[in-house]
Amino acid sequence: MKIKNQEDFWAGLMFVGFGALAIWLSTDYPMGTASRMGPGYFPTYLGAIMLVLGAIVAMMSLKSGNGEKITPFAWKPMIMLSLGFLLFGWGVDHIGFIPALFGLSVITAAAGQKFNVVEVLLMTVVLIAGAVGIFIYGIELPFPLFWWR
Amino acid sequence: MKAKYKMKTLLAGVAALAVTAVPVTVLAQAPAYPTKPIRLVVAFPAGGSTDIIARLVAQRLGEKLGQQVIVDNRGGAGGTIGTEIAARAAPDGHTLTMGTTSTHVIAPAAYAKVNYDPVKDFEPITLVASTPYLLVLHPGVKANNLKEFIALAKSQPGKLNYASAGTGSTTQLAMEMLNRAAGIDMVHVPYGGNGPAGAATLGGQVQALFGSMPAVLPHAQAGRLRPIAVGTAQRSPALPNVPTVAESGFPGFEVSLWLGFFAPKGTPKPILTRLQKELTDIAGNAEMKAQFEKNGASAVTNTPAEMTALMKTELEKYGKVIKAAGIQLK
Amino acid sequence: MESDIISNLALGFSTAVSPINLFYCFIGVLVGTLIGVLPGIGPVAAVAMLLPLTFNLDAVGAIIMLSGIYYGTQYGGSTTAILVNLPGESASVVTCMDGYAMARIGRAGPALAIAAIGSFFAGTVGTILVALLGPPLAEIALKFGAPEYFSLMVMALIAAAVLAHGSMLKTICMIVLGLLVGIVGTDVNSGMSRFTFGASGLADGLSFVVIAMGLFGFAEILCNLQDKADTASRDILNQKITGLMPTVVDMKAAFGAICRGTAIGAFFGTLPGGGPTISAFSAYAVEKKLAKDPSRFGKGAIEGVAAPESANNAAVQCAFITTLTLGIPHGATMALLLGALTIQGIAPGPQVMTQRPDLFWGLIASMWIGNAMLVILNLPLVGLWIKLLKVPYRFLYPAIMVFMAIGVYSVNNLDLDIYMTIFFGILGYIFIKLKCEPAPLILAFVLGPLMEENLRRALLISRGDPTVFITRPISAAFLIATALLLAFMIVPSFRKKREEAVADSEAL
Repeated sequence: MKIKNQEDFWAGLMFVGFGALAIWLSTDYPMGTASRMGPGYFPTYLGAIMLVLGAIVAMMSLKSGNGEKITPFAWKPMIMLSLGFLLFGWGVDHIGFIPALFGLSVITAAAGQKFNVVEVLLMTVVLIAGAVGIFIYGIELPFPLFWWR
Repeated sequence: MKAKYKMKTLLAGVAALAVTAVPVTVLAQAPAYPTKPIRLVVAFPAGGSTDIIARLVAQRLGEKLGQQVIVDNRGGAGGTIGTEIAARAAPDGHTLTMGTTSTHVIAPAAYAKVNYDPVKDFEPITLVASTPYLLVLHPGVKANNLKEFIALAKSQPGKLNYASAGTGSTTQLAMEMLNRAAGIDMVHVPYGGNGPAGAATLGGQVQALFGSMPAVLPHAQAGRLRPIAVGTAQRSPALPNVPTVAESGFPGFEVSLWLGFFAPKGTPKPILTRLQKELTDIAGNAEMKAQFEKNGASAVTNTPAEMTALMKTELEKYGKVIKAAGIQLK
Repeated sequence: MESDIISNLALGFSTAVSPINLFYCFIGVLVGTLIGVLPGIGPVAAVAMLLPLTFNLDAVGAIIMLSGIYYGTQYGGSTTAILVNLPGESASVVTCMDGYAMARIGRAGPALAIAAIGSFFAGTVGTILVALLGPPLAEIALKFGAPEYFSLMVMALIAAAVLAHGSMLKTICMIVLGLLVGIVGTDVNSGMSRFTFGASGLADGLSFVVIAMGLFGFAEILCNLQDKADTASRDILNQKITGLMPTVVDMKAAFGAICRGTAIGAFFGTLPGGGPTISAFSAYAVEKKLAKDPSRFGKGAIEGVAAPESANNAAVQCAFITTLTLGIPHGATMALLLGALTIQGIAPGPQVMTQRPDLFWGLIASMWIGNAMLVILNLPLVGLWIKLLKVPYRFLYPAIMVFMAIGVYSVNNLDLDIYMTIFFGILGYIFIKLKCEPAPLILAFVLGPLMEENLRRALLISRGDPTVFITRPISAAFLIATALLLAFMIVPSFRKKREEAVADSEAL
């Protein structure tokens, strides 16, 4: 059985997954009755609706569609950008705002195709200067600039 | 070729960082306090009555100490998030928090698990203000004073609704205390804060609200809400004609929200003493007192020992109501 | 009555055009615009940060400046929405859709310009409405109880489904998912924490900033980086820029949208809890339904920018009505403004109009002046923003990442927010690949909690009686409108399905 519509198929499965997750998580909360709903009532029914609709989407995807494959995932950008963000989050409090930005900028730039060292460093300097100017001096966000402050 | 460049760049970057950074870790002698701006953690959103009082005091405190006192709003989870952050802060006098009845008495009693101990993790400094609670009715309710209201409630058990600023809030506890003392049964309708609770009462969606004074005073004064009793031991100067709940047949009834300054446990005594002196001065200042009163609060000061004692008695008082009303927050 | 209004407005304008108040107004709207452009940092943060400054100002000056910041941020928020698909705040999510599409086909200039013009028109009309209809509208707002809010939210969510460009079923799933994401946090009705996995940072729910940055910003960048081709060729601007200002054709098309958007925004703005977000996408949905060729929407229809921008600006101005006349704040920013007034010693409420007419009418006049300043500020800036688009993408996207990271972290200083942004970023990327629309999700996320809260509250107050939704007139009106909306949506899609089926069978 060929999957006619790849996107809808996986989307449907994803929604079924989310729906099931919602229902499972909601078992922790009291349901109450229809006229005095407890905290678990709403999420359970929402999860159920999503599960059913997701199943329908997945089933319909088997019939109509043009069989186009989904374009492959961009793993490298995903990992690099996430790393950059994580580094920033950790870095602001541990090594300071400026080093954290430096790391974020360089790693993020490395996620792209072209990586010209001079360009990246120049851009990073500009970005850091701008960010410090706007956020630290302008808005006075309370971030330590380096790790000794 | 590209990969080699990237590796080189990363190494160069790290080296540059290491070279340009000269960590200055000089252990300074304890210099005159304060040496840098002070962070005042307010565990409630900006603009609320706690925040307003905090900002008023913070500004004056900054002037007196010679360093800026910056309000850091960390609202959420009934004030527990911000309070926990303050508990974990370094006890060097540069982090303080505005604790209230909600953060240091009610939350520990109502929440199943709170990540701080209001007594063990904090050094109390002094109270600065106290806001009373005002029992207001929607004008359409056929009761002009507390006696009539209780009679009305008794004749219609389970029919009247009252609003609160949320499950576990002082507004709910105050009403529950009254319910139990008067033997009446009203249905609790929680809202997301004092603002929505006030709006609901104004619109007649509920009949009553034991509201925080700053939130309901303007409406009471404008006649849009009918004040029938105030929850403090003394009548409020803003509404001298409104009797207290204690006067109206329930001696000993007392509900109010206090606001005070706390520092993390371990903050040096000299700093605490200095802060207590400055804060007492600020709260005693006639102008500040007037500012507070405009907001429906009154200036109050006391000592750390008194604060600890207060927390203890209130924990018992509210703990009883919380248990009886079955309030359990997670 | 008429002469009263005129004399009041005269008093207001004379107050507002004093040099010092003009200065405060200018500072306010300038700061507001800049803050609005920065992703993550919104009006709440801006007003909170500048609040201490206002202690030393007199009440009129303070409120003029702070309110300038508030509606200034709406202008700024639409700029990033159009240029880089990053919604500055919830109302800008709708502007992202056609605004960014217009930017990609080289029409960022007209998009930005029409946003400014539409907002100015809406702000002007909104000011007049506040002046004329303030108190009566506020009274109606008070009549809104839990049933009315619930029915309103239901109608709004169904309208959100209209925003769909693709599969209706998947859009509904996204809405449901948005509702579930909105559930994360503390349940007002029971005080219980739901879906928080014990993390205290989630106790008050996920923040809009995190979800918006993740779903829109992060995901978009991932999507742009996925091509194996040289990143340099993925500049946002693929085509030549065709003019900075809207053409006569544009203006004609947008005019109706602007008027309708303003009306919708004024209506929803006065309702507490409604506000700019509902206004923005209701206006969008209305335009899409009224358009002769709805398929243009999502690809760069100028009405798709004009309508939501006018609506959200009108809503912001009209939100002042309930805040000032009733003393009831709409949301966090309004609460702050009220707080500022209180610190100044002014108790907001009905008596403000009588006790401090200079403040009330001065504020209203300065809102008009502020809007004028904003359009004068922003129109020339269009050229500057366009230059930004020409920056090669390989420089632009790290800059966006930097601003996003700072913006997200500055809200709560929580590492958790960073993790959640990454999570939603990857999720958003998956959504794009699976052709699921993020806009309905985020709209449901914003509105969902209100819907559930009010459903349960309505049933609590009515002691379990469900007919309360139909017996109360306003609530019934919203539900009937919802039913009609549904009918309008289902009938054409049946026809389309039949047409598709016919076309399919003919192609075989």
